[in-house]
Amino acid sequence: MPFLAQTVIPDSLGSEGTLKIPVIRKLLEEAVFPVEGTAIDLLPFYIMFALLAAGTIATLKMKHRQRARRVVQTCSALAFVVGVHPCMCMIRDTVLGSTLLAINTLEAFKYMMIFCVVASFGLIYGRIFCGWICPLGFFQEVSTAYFNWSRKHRLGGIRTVLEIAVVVGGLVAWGGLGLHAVAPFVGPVVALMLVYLVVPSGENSLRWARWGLTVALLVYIASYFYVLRPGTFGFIETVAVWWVMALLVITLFVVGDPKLDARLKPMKFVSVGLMTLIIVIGIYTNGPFCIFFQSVVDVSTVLSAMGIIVLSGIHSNAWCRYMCPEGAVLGLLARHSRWKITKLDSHCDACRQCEPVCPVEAMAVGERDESTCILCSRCVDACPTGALILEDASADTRQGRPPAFVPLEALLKK
Amino acid sequence: MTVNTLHNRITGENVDVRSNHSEVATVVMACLITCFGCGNGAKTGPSIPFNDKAPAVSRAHTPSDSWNSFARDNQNSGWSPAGFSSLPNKPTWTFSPGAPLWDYKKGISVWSSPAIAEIDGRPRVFIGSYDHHLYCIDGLTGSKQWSFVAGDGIFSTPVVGKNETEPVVVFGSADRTVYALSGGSGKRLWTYETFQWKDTVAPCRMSSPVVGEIAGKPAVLIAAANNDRAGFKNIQKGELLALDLTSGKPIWKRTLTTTFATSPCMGEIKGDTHIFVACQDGTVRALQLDTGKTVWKFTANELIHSSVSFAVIYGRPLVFFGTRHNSIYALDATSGKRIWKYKCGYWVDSTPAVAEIAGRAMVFFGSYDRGVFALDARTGKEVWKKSTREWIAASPLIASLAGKRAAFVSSLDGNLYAYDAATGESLWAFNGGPFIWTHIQQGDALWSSPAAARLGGNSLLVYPSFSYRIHGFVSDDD
Repeated sequence: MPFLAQTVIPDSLGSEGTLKIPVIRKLLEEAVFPVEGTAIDLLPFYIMFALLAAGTIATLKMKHRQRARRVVQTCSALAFVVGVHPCMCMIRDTVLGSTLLAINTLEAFKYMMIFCVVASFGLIYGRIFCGWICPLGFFQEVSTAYFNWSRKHRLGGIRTVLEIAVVVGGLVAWGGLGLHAVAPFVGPVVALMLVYLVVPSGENSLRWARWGLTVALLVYIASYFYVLRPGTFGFIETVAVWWVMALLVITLFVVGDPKLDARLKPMKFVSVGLMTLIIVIGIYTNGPFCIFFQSVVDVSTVLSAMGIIVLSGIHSNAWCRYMCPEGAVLGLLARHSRWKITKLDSHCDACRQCEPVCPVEAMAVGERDESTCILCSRCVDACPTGALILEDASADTRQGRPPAFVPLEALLKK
Repeated sequence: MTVNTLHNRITGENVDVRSNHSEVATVVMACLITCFGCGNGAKTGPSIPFNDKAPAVSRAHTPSDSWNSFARDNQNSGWSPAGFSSLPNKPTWTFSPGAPLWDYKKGISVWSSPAIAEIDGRPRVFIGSYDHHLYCIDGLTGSKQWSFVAGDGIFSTPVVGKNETEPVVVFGSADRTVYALSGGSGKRLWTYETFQWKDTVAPCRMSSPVVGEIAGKPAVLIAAANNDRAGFKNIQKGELLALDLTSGKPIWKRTLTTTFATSPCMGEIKGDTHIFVACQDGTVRALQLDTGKTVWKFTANELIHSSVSFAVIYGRPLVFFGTRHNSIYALDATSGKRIWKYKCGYWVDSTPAVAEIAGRAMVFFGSYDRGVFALDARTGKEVWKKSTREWIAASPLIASLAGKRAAFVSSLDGNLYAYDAATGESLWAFNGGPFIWTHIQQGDALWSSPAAARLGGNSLLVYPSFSYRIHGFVSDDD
């Protein structure tokens, strides 16, 4: 069999000659808390635990949550982007780590320790990692704030033209990278989106058609990866670029018709399914966050990170809503998390003030899309009647007993 | 100010770092590090300083009928006396065992690195393969002399030592066994099983051996990582074994890690020979050759898949290795203290080659960022860097080409490149043909390095390519 992988490698990703790869350093480049005298450092684990705990306490107890959130996010960005160098491709690491259990437990521990703490908090508080810790989420929020500010002050009139130009320009730039290997991949992604757009959910007969089409397309994409191994010889695998290309297409649709947002949100579950599949096949995937956590500087990682941050200026936290595989897993956990933002029907007067403040558009008349909510608590702060509260959603409170915890300000507002 | 500049200013990286921890760590977390610090440090006498009057690189002697480690001398230096006036685009001979047998699976590579030694007056090439065979090939014609079948793939490079009567080829196989064969006939002399078979054992990750002398007797050292995947009584251990080359009896064994150890090397410090070995868990140790006792231990901050190389640079013994924190370290071999560290774009699994080039000690290595790097061995300053088209997971070879010292590097793009070692100018490239597999997993195995030797009047360059073929270039001049 000819070496197919080599035939689809774009020249722009590997050329002979002078090497021009910038090197990013971290401030702490030595293990501070080595496990049993090895290079496995517990410091990122401790930092993650401390930041998640700080976020949790601030969410539950503090009055100025948004101020606290900015502090925690800044600390997180400083600690992980500038300070230490953890590997946080949580899906890949968990799959790889689980294959190493009982074979190389030390390496498995290295891969899985961060995800364990994030997932544990996820089971209790949902996607608190996304809203409070994730540096990529933070940079997206900064980008959204900057774009909003510039629109208000300078670019109001030409907003739509500019946005469409950026998105289309982005698509052309990605295509221009010479990723002709991507062409067979873009087709199924667009088709998959159309399935979600055209076939409405809810009706039984159509639901099966929708699922059938989804599975068929997933099998097609997975077999494409399996046979061609397009990523095998990228600098590190070029998977992130493809994910961001799909995100660009989605954003293009949503910018055109904002109603599509809710329908396209389940794409993140397709994203995590596909990502897991190709990791199991044996492709060493990268993520746009690799540049922040591991200082990986290659075409795929840098372009995808830049693409996501710019896209958030057009459509806030687009990556978190539609594509983030880690967010999708935490979103699944969030559906069963113990603490939730819930609506007190008696207090809600359907003023809808909670909707525009949500960065991921997870609110609809006070009802929250649990798998999308990143627990930033802006809706709770914005609610004029105190109808939105963070409460223990375990069984005893559902049986009509008073919630175990009601934030102070909600009580005051009562 | 970028993070890079900030870091450089604070730590003085690449200048002459005297501390094992960055200064920032010391300032910000002084107390914590004092309590829990890495434990890197001197347990031995004072370090030997650089001496400008000493030779830039002093190397170990390797006779032509021996091949002491995967990188020729037992210091893993990658240096070869071979010289070629020119290299053609067509090899002198090509050897192929036939059609490829099996598909790719995790952890395998097509070939081990080759060993070249003079046996019965003829140059012989010894090489292991994923097809479970060890091949002995004539170095001048490429014809197969004999082959030996082991129970699993052979990814450990064979070494050639001598017992009292004949040359002995020693290698390890993934079937958990160390084999010793007669260099002339391929007859089995002895075997040593590193771990007893059970239906739950995994293939063994065996390093390449290194040949030395313990108490005046020829000995071979090899690292073996065995794993019993049983849920109860699960065993994960990486051992370093010292075996008697004549009888195969163990002289000593040391369990170093729960992961695996890479190929050891030897070096002499103040008249005593030491073993240097890196483990995947990020530790590098110096051990006493006679007893296997630890002299010092250094902990890097990321996993290590590279092997250690040793060299005496301006009279000061140093060890070099790459890590998966995209960096290469130089340690003082006497104390285990870090001398310098150089960071590149991605993982360094390649074993650093050390050679004297135009009166200057230099280190060469390849990285998964596709680059080939040449650094000053004393300071860690970059001399040149070049890019190939794909990852480099093999170790460089230093030999002469067209009157210049050249670094030969095998890249996973299927090419063997030769660069002028002093300037990085591209001298020659050879394509070894298409890969036999449609894919490989990144970072899962080390890939075969080229080898070169000067035997009799001939120089021989052997390049095992990923197309399941071995290419030999023979030159009778320099």
